[in-house]
Parts: sequence; C-alpha cells; structure tokens
Amino acid sequence: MTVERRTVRALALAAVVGSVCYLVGAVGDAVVPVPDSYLFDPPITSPQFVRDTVLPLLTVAGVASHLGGAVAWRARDRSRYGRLWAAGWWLAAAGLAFATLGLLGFLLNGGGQRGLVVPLLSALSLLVGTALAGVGMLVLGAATVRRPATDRARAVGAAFVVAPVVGVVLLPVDVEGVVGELTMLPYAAAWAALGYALWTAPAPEADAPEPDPE
Amino acid sequence: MPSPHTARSRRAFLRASAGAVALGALAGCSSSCPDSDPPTPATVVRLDGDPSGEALPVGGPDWPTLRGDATNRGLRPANDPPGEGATLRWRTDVAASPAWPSAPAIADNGSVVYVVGGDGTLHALAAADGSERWRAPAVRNADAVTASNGTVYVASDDGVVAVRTDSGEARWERPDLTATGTPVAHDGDVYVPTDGALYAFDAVSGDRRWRVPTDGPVTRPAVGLGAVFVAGGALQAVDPADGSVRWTDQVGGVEDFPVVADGTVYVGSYDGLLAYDRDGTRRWRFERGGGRAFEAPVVAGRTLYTVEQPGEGPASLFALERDDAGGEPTPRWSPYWCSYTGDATAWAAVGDAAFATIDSGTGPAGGEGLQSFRERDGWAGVQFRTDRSLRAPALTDEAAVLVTSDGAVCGVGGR
Repeated sequence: MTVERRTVRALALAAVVGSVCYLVGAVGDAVVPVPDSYLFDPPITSPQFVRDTVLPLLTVAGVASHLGGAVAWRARDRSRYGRLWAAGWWLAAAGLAFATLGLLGFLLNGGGQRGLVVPLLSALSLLVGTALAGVGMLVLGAATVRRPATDRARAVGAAFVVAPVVGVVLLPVDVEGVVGELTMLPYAAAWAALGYALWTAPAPEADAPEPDPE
Repeated sequence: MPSPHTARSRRAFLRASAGAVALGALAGCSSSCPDSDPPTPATVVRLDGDPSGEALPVGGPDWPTLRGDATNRGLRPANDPPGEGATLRWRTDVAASPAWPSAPAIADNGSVVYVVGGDGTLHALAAADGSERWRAPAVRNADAVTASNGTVYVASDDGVVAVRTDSGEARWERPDLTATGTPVAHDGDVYVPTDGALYAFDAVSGDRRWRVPTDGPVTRPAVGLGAVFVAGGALQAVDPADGSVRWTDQVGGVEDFPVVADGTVYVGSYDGLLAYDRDGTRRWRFERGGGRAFEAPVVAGRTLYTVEQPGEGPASLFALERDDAGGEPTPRWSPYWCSYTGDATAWAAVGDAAFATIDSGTGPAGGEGLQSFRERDGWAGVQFRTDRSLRAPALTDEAAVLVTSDGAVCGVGGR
C-alpha cells in the first residue's frame, strides 16, 4: 500500500510538472521565431532545433505525464466511481495515448516536415487522440462532479468538464501569438489540479457526508 | 486539448493532410525542401517608394554583365552586401514597352549604369544619382547588356549591337543574328549565343572569328578554364582560339547557362545539378529525386546556391555546403539549408549573403523581390520589392541597381 501511495504521488507530481511543460511548449511555439530557412543539421541553439525538437519534446512529455496522472487517478479512485467514470477514464486514457503517439511521430519526423506517410499517420493519431481525450475528460469530469468525495474532487471534476468545453468553443477562434496558445491553459490546469489533488491525498479519501435532510 | 489547437500542430496537421491529398498526383513533383513558408524579410525596401535622393557610392567594383562576369559565377566575396539599412536612393524611368527593359550593368569603375529600355534605347545613367548621360539606339527585347573595354554589347532576337561608351555611337552591328542570350565579352572576343550556333566576334571590329553549329538554341556561354562552355541540347566545350569543339556531353533539359568556378563546370538540368572537370569528365551530380530540375548555381567558395524547380509547385533556394571529408579530388556537396521561395532565381553572392529574386506575392502580377539570405543559416535580410517583375540585379559594394518590368531603374544602397 505504501508503494502504491508513492507511485500515485510520483505520477501526481509528474502530472503537475507535465502541465507546466505542456504550457511552456505551447507558449514557446508563439515566442520562438519561425526560421526563414530550413537547416538540414540545425545547431541546438537554433530556433529551428527549439521548435522542431525541444518544444515538441515538452509537449510530448506533458501529454505523457497526463496519461500517468490518469493511471494514478484510477489506482486511487476506481473503486469509488461507477461505470460512467470508468468509461470516461478509458476514453481519456486512450485519447492521451493516441495523442502521445501522434506527437511522438511529429517529433521523430522533424516537426512533420519530412515525407508524407509519417506526418499523415501522426496527424490522424493526434486528431483521434484529441477527440477521445476531450470526450473522455468531459465524461470523467461529469462523473466526478456527480459524486464528489471532497470539495477538491469536485473542483477537479469541474476542471475536467470546463477544459474540453473551452477547447471546443475556442477551436474556430484563430488568435495568433501567446494569447492564442494560452487557450491550452484550461486543459493544462485541469491535469495540474488532478495532480495536486493526488499529491495531497494519494490514498482513497472518505466520501463526503450526505447532505442532512433536516 | 492535447494539441491540435496549437499553431504548430495545426500547421503540421494541415501540412500532412494536404500532402496526403497531393500524394498521388504530385509525388516527386513538388519541392523537396521541408520549408513551406515564404521567408519573412528583416527589412522591405519598396522600389515604388520615394527615393531619398542620397547618392550611391561610386568607385566600387563593376558588375558589367549578367552574373557579374564571364564565368556566370555571380560572386563578389570581398564586398559588403546591401544590408537592412539599405534605402531607395534614386529611380529613373525608361520605356517598358513594347518589350521589357533589360537587366542593368555597372561599369566604368562603378560610375555608369547601362540599361536598354523596352523600346530598344540604350541608356547610360550615372550610378550615383541615376541621371542620364546619353542614350543611343540599340535593339529591344534584350535580357541584359554586357559592358567591356569601352563598349556595351546588346543582343536579342533583333540582332547584336556594339555601342561605344564614350560617345554612344555604334561600333558595329549584326542585325542578321537571332541571339538567344546575353553576350559574353572576354579577352578581346564577344561570344553570342543564337538559335543554332555559337558565334565569336572580334570585340572591337565585329569581325566574325568562328561559328560553332549547335543543336537548336543555346544559352549564354561561360568562359573559363581555357574554354567557352555553352549549353543547349548538349553541354559543349569550345576552344576559344578556333571554335573547335573539345568535348560534348548530352544533358537532358538544360535551359540555363553553364557556370565555371574553382576548376569545375556546373550546369543545372532536369537530371540534377551536374559538375564536370575541364576535360568533360562528369565529377558529381546533385539531385533530390525525379521531376526536380536545378538552375544555374551561384558558386561562393564553400557554399553553392541553386534553385530547385519541381515539376509542379513552388521552387526553393538550396544552399549546398562543400564537404571535403570524403577526400579529394571529388568534393561532396550536401544540402545545408533551403528556403521556400516560390518562383525564384539565384543571382549573386556578395560577402556573406546570397541574393535571389523570389515571389513577393504583393502585386496584381504577383510581385517579386530581390531577397538576401545569410550564408550561415538562410536568415532573410533585406528585400527590395516591386509589385511587378524584376530583371537580374547588378550588385556592387553595399549597393545594387535593379530594373522592374514597368521600366523603373532603381539605385539602392546602404548597410
């Protein structure tokens, strides 16, 4: 049991750090200049290396750590919630896995700029993963809010509902620059909130008391 | 969510999707350069803007013909290129119909600009301020002019004219020739490419020295390594003394002129960028897959610039880096950087910058700009932009003279 708590805390910490990595990756995309030309062997200090390798690496690390956070959440709470929560979890986990694979494909392919097959498969994996993760987070959040163990769990559930909704609402809005990238904030914040909740309470928490009918 | 909302992933996704759609039809026919965004110039100097009136520096090196000299190499290594602080100094208009004006030449110790208007009038302009010194009748529809030893040579499908630079009077004329490229003057001779032959004339008298029949039209020749190289249906090395053909190599799809540099003859073709020894031995070939032609390179020491022109889609400028690690005598050239350019032509390397005309996409006809690219990383510096088309530039120390298709002759300069 002690080992499990440690694992949950480690994955919780990873989810928080991963959210920061994810945000840095997103904001960096707006901040780091786009090179005028493509260097075939870019030095590690070049904007191209940062854009094609460092930022995608941060994004992959972020999404992969969120998958770890999801695993920790399930390890802690799977006995508490019902089938709706489990379905949401599986959807979110599958989505994050697909998204990680897609981002890895882009990373290994130099930002999707070489060839056609790998970028295409990566893009499809990313698209499917994003859709699944979005639906999964929504279901997870709704199931959690419906039966919150604590106020902290309610907050996490609410964050998981809000993040995909904000993402869908802002999807058609094409805002350039850092502001555009900050639309990722609710997503990163939701996983950071989960990580914080798991870090502070790595063991199953007692259910919240039923409201007194009196 | 995980990411398609970020700009990077959105671009990658769109790129991949578009690529998949195009896969079947365009495989091998699009540019092999991974860069897909036009360069963003650090500074844009509009050629239709208000000139500052400041004089261009005079006394710099000449740029007396297309690509700077008889080798077509396009290189000025010891000079500073016009930089981000460059401005439009002066503008002079010449006729832009019924044909386009020619590319300019800078001669007479950097003091005079020669250009042919669309009406066939040769103009001599002061390089400092663009004021006209004299004008003389020549031939219209010339691509560029060549100035050498007190004479300007103008050639087009209307014939060949040699004009004295001190008076503007004709030195000799050959109205019977149908020139297919800019003449090359070298060592007392003038070489004129035509539809079906390469001619050599005495530069002063205009007497024909020899004629080499060719298989169809040929490009502007290159002179170097003790020979005259001309491309068309084949690449030929011609003895300048008597016009005898030393060697011939059948090359597919050569539409651009040969280049001589560093003991090597370069020619761009549909078969790739080819390099030959002086004896005709093919040294190496650089290609990036079928269906992609390469244009005449600008050769700047350890860097070589060439435009990859795919069968479909926009072109890209490639910088190739010489790699001697594989051992002499055959150096290897590997791609160092490339840049999406749209339609483009590489013209020159001055100091640490390469210059190419690229699509600027700003005018009703598309627009063009002369763009500088930094040698070490392809960073886009100054761009001299017009809503029209640009002729080949003439570059000198920290300055350039540009001619637009609507007849504006522009002097630009500054670091």
